[in-house]
Amino acid sequence: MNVIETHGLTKRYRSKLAVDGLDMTVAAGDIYGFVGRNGSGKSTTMKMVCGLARPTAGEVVLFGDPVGGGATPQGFSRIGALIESPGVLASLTARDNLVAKALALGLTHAGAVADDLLALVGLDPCDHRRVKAYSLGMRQRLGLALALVGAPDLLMLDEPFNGLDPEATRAMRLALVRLNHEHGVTVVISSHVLDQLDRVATRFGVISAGRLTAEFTDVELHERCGSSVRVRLARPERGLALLEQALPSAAFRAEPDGALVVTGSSLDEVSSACFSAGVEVRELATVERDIEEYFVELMGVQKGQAPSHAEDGEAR
Amino acid sequence: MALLRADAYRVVRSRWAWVILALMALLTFAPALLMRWTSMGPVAFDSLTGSALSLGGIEILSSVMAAIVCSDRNDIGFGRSVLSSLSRRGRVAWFVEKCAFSVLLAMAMLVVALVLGLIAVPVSGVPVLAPEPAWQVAVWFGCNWLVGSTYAVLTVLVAHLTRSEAVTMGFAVLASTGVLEGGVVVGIDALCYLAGGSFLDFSAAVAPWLPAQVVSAIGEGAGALLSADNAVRLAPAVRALVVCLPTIVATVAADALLVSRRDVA
Repeated sequence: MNVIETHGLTKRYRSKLAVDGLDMTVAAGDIYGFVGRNGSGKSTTMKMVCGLARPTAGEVVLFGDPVGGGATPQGFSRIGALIESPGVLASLTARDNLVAKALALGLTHAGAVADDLLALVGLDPCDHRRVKAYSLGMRQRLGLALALVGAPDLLMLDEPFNGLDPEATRAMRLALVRLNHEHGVTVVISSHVLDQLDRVATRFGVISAGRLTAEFTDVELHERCGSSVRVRLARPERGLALLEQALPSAAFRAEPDGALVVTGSSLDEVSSACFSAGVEVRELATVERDIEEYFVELMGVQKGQAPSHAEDGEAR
Repeated sequence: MALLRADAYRVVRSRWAWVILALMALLTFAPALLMRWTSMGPVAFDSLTGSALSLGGIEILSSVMAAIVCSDRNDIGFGRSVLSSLSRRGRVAWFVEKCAFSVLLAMAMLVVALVLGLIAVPVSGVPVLAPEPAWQVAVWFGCNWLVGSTYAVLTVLVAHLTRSEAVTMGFAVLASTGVLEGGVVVGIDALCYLAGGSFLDFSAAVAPWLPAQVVSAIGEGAGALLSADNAVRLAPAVRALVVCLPTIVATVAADALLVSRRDVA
């Protein structure tokens, strides 16, 4: 079952098109990493999914129920969100913030709920300091706890790792994985901290200029970012044509120095192909591809310029 | 009810609510104690509602409280967290609740002020010559509540429309002190004059219907509130009902039906 589906989701703020016909799918149980540059439309998309902003066009389907129209979907009551800065009441304590939200959602035993959530995110339930005295990292943790009030089935987190020190980042990451594994909570995380996202996410969506340029699983990501082969040939143009013929399933990318980077084939396969084709090889090496580099490449893709693997991802 | 309980909880748990309560006690008891110790002030009060019980400033406090409860820094950010977990109907209820809560807050503050005032009258040691019957005190209390609630819900609407704490607070103070009403009326007067009309015709016709006029009648006591004006032939209490009640209903409807449809983030 898909927890979130968006069809042609569009948001226009006066003359600026923030989200442009976005089609996104998040399945139940996913930890979905939502990646994009600043201003690419991540937060706006998350706001529309949470119902905090109205789409200019398109549709959001939550838990199989279309939002808007004549129906009154209860999907929103199954969402917990931390969008942009944590919305906390700075003049109250962390516990009071959680109790206030628990009461607003009509939960019984609001105090117990607050204590449990504070323990979950690593804040002290007996801390009587007001939130205005908290560091950014502590506020982020409180924001996560607030999003978790009411035991939501879907958690929408916008930059949850911002301001967290390494220890807190690890704690946050582990808490999210535990929620996902033990409670079956579907999590959507937008983040620039790609190495953290890579450690938790099971699926990824890449947004660029308001459009989803690629969607793929963590397995597909590691296949794409896995070892590739760098080969420098004496006659690159002829060599490329011969290698494309010999290795039809491989993808080729030309480097500025004239070398070719071959993905989808092993070093041995490339070496054999070169030998069979009688191509003179000047350099042959295995290179590891950086995930960050891969995402940066995808995020830089503009409409109509998607690379071959991004198109593959879209098709999925 | 859940939303009201949540707002009541956070008001009770916040420090500023107690600061405002202390301020109200100070404003009530300081003059009463001055009267007792220095023989300053009147020899006797004519009526109970025109005595230390007079709560002319309560409208300001109730709308400022509403501004604090619903202003951007204190509520909208937290509200995003709550609103993202509410259904569509729940979201409309959230906006209605803010208005309802400001009205209840105005009443709670009036009750506190009434109790403080009733204690302050004997503390001042100044006798009340002709205390009004209970129903007149009740009408006086009701008018106070009606006008205070009007300013409070208007403040909530401005808070939700502008999402600016400074603008909301500024509106709360200017509206509840009557400056805003006066300014608008004088502005229209000026426009009428420029269009070739008489300068004060508009304000003469409109002024008796302004909530600020009811506030000044409240300050004079229940007698002034219940006696009909020669020009309008209606008591300020009736005028308050005619003007404030529809204003409150229209404001709540606008907040719930129109403002709730806007993006909240």
